Amino acid sequence: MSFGSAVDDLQRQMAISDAVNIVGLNSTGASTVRDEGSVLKAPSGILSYEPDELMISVFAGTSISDINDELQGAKQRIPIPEWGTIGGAVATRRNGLRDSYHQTLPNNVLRCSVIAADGSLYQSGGQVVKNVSGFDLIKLLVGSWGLLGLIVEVTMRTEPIPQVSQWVQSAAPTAIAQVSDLYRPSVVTCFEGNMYVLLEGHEKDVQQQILQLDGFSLCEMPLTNNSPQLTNVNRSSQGVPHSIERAIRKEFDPGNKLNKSIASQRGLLT
Amino acid sequence: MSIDHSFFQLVQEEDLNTCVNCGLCLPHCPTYRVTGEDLYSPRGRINLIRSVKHGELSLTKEVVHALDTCIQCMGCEPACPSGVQYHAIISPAKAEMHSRWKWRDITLRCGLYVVTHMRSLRIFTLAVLLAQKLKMVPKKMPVPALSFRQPQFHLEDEDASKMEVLLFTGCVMDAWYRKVHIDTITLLEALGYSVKVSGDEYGCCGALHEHAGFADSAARMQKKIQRPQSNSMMVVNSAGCSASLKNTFAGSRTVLDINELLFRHITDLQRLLVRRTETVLIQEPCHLRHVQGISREVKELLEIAFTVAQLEDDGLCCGAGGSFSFSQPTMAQAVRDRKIEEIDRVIHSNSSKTIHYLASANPGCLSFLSGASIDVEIVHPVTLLAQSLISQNSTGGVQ
Amino acid sequence: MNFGLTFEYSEEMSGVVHTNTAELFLVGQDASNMMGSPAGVCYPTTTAEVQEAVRWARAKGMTFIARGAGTGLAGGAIPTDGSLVICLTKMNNIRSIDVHKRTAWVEPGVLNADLSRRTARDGLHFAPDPSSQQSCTIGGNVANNSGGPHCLSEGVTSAHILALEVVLPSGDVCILDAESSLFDLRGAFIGSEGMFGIATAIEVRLVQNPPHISTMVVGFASVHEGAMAVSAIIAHGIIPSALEMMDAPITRAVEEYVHAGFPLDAAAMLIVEIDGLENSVLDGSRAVKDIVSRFGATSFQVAQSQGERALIWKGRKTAFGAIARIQPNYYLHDTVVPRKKLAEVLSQVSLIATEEHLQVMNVFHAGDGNLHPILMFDKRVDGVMDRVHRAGAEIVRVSLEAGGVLSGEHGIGLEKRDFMRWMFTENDLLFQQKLRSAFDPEGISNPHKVLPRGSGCSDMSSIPPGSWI
Ligand SMILES: Cc1cc2nc3c(=O)[nH]c(=O)nc-3n(C[C@H](O)[C@H](O)[C@H](O)COP(=O)(O)OP(=O)(O)OC[C@H]3O[C@@H](n4cnc5c(N)ncnc54)[C@H](O)[C@@H]3O)c2cc1C
Ligand code: SF4
Ligand code: SF4
Repeated sequence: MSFGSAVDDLQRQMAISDAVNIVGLNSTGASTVRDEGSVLKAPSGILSYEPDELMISVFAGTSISDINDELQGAKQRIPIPEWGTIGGAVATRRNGLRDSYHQTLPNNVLRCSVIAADGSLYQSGGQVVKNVSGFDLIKLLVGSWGLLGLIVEVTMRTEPIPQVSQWVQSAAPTAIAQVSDLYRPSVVTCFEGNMYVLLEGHEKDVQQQILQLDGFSLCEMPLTNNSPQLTNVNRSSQGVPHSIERAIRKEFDPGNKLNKSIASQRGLLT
Repeated sequence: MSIDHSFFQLVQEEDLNTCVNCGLCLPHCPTYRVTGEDLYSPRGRINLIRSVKHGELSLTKEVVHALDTCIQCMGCEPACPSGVQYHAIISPAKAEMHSRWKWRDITLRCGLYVVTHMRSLRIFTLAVLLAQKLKMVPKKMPVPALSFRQPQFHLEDEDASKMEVLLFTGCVMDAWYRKVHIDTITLLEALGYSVKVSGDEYGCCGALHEHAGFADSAARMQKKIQRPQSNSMMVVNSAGCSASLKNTFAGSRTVLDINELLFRHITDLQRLLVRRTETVLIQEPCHLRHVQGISREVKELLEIAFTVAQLEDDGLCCGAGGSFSFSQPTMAQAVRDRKIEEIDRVIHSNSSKTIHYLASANPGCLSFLSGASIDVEIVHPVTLLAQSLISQNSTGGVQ
Repeated sequence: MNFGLTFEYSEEMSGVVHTNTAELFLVGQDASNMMGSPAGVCYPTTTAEVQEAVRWARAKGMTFIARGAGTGLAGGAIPTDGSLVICLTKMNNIRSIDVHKRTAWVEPGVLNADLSRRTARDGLHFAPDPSSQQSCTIGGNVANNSGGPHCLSEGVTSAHILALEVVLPSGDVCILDAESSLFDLRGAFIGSEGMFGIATAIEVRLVQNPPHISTMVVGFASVHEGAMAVSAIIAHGIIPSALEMMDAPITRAVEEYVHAGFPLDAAAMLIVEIDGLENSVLDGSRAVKDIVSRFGATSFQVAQSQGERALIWKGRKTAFGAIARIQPNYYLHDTVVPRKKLAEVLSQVSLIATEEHLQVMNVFHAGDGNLHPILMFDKRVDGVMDRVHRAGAEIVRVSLEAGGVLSGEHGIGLEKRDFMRWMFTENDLLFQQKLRSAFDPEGISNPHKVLPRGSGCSDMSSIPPGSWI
């Protein structure tokens, strides 16, 4: 599998560097933590888009808004908030508001191609919507913060844009009970004492759902800044799971080459 | 170890070959449900019989135990999409084991002999006591008053216009559940039948023996019973017996389970029964549901008069299994415990109403379940229906 | 069971590890055509007992393998070179159900369908619905990342697992969830076919039962037209909750068993189900009706009651089993191709079967391009296994050539292990091996599966003897 000279060059640079900082558009701020060593960035551009298959393959450096612009024509989208690159979203497991509710991102990534610390290219997944061939490196790569390699290509599921998308909000104490009676809203989130709900689907269904709610008002998408910050990522760095993580790091990046400062913050320098 | 190649030659290759090892039958097998072990599953048993037959496996004590603990409830058969005829595999296998080791089942043979032959009060009582010891029947079960003569059923004068039916009275059923016979007759008469009873003349149908693998004794008993004429009808109110008799008189369409016959008259019954307030939980005997495929009939009949609740276990066996509870008490009780848990779940679930009765159309299940502690009255559905007859409820009725 | 002994004392774990030939013979098999060689089998009932069993195996220098219901089709549960089989069917308690959070903690031996049955009263169910759901365990679903007809819209098992309690090959126990580590170890464990350790408790997501469902059965005059209709439905932007195809021979076999009223004169039939809120279901089913009629549908029925719907699904889900009505043995394949290639690959598959003089039937998850060609044979016929294997390999080859993958839901196990190189480079495999090594450095949990032999990828040791009967 070859992705052309841009990726070949990156592989060479990776192979010869002792330390590598992987950056996207730095929308999270995570990649400002610069150490010495080279700075590598995945190429951008759309590799293939097949609307009829509901699937798109892109270089990981492509911005999400560029992807959605491309998808717009076929009335499709990827349900990730439009900032930063797709590689960055995958690496930081950024799903936007949907994250807490549906685990959409990990399930929508169908294939990843990665430049490993030694400069070799490895791939997991395939350009199909269902796949259990071999161990699932994709789940591992989603949220790996560049510690397991430089993601250069991502194949994603796309979804038809729903007829209607409407946010509603309420601060009433009954809101929670009401929302739990709703049939599968797209997002439910609490923010500054308000409950926000995103209803999507057929126009009439959404209307009926809104009528069913009492004390809710229509609103815009809440402007929360929930872009993942490493410091906010509430994950343990001890215990048995952490020792597995360290073992994975040791296997994937034995020379501690990738994103050193992130690795050290997480106790993953080996 | 030398392997005996001569086992299970009577089991047909074709029957063994239809099993593709898919495992879809597993949850429908009560013994797999309670053990979780492949050894006690239909798939496992078929595989064992096949491999022993092919000389790939010797007939070890584990294999024998695996086969002995099969209740022959046939829960696996309707569940199998490949159409494996499990009964055609297990029956000859069991029969063969019994005929090879006659001594092994001597107590069981004796027990069955007593239960199905001795019509004297003394021996019968003994049998009950014995059964109570073995927890086959409840301690609280009253020993019914027995008469030595033919039961004095009230038969109307011969009336040519009336359809005649022969009620097969059997052995255990007649001795322990005579009330069900009386109720059956009441119902049938209300529907305009004239009822005759088979009584001692026919005796036992041999189902228990057959089930236990004593094919020889079963055959002897079956000989006593006359094949019903095509213009008459034999009706049976024990699911185990109706299944067995249907098999004995294969091809005859004149042997009917009572539920089948009553179901034919469902519109008449809608007229004849009163609506009652109680709720009935149905326990489906394996020989009714799995062997004869009779299931919705009982439900719809009871629904005429009662609110009906159902178990959510796909008709898994209660563990009675003819003489199974006698020969394999440990497995039988484990299977019964699971059933009781299921029953309790329904009884105590807050969504359903209070359950008043547990209805089961088979004497084996009735008595085996009565041996456990359940907080509802356990009855035969026919009894419930007979009690609901308008004629039985209005003043001046036939009471 | 006297599992209470800790492993230091239970030198032989006597009475706990069964070693009789009959049991070993049975747990040496699953629903595939393979036969393994276990050294013992035990049935732990608690996490601590699983730990004890794993430690005991380690102390003995043995490998071990988790077993659920043994319905796997790729030989994942086939024990190789003297493994201790740790059978989890006795760990079958539903520990807790949280109706408000819509989650449940279950033990691995809980049967998939039993969980949904228990939560039905609260209007909830566990979404992954493999056709074997009545029999297979949730532990097995996790290990194989199983799918099912309704995974088209709901996503496969990994989308429905929130946390796992796992006994690692080291004997340690830990929880893998969103909080326990930076990397998604929970996600990595799912689909690891028992090679990363044993799941001893599973937190699942429960989803709301849909308020409206429309189940349609559509007949077509040719497989090609049916396949084209599938692509067209997806391309139209409708994501049905399920979109299944059955060809004529399998439809006839199944109909004989379930009597669901399937169109017997059709060359192929689709089951299309749309669920959700009222208007989206109405519009969606209308659109489906339009599309299928454009592709020459010869019949169109809609289930009129819950009973009819249940019967249709019973027909679909027992389809594999019904095959024995035609031939005593089957070899069920599982590859995925892009949906637009369905028609093309299906005709190649039928050519392959003809060339090897085998009968083939198709019943599969068309909506996600997941093919299940079933080769039927009688293994007593001389040389038939060679033909079956040749045809199987060819099917894998044409699927990969069409841009597909090795397996959509049954996993790699032993069956497809040696095809892994057809899809992955040595380097891809090396990184999969690295992940395995992080969980199981010694390679003692379900050895010899998934990763192909040779070049440092597979577990070092001999090939399992008699992998194929
Ligand atoms: C008729 C039929 C239809 C089927 N349909 C489908 C389908 O539609 N979709 C689908 O995806 N599959 C299907 N399958 C395959 C199979 O049922 C699934 O893969 C199922 O998930 C296996 O579960 P099991 O409990 O039988 O696991 P087993 O077969 O016992 O084991 C499977 C694998 O899981 C491992 N394992 C089991 N339990 C654990 C545990 N607790 N921890 C770690 N590892 C464990 C085993 O080591 C083994 O590798 C079908 C099979 C049959 C026979
Ligand atoms: S008996 Fe039927 S259901 Fe059971 S394993 Fe065999 S083929 Fe499958
Ligand atoms: S007859 Fe009953 S006990 Fe025997 S294998 Fe079948 S389901 Fe199990």
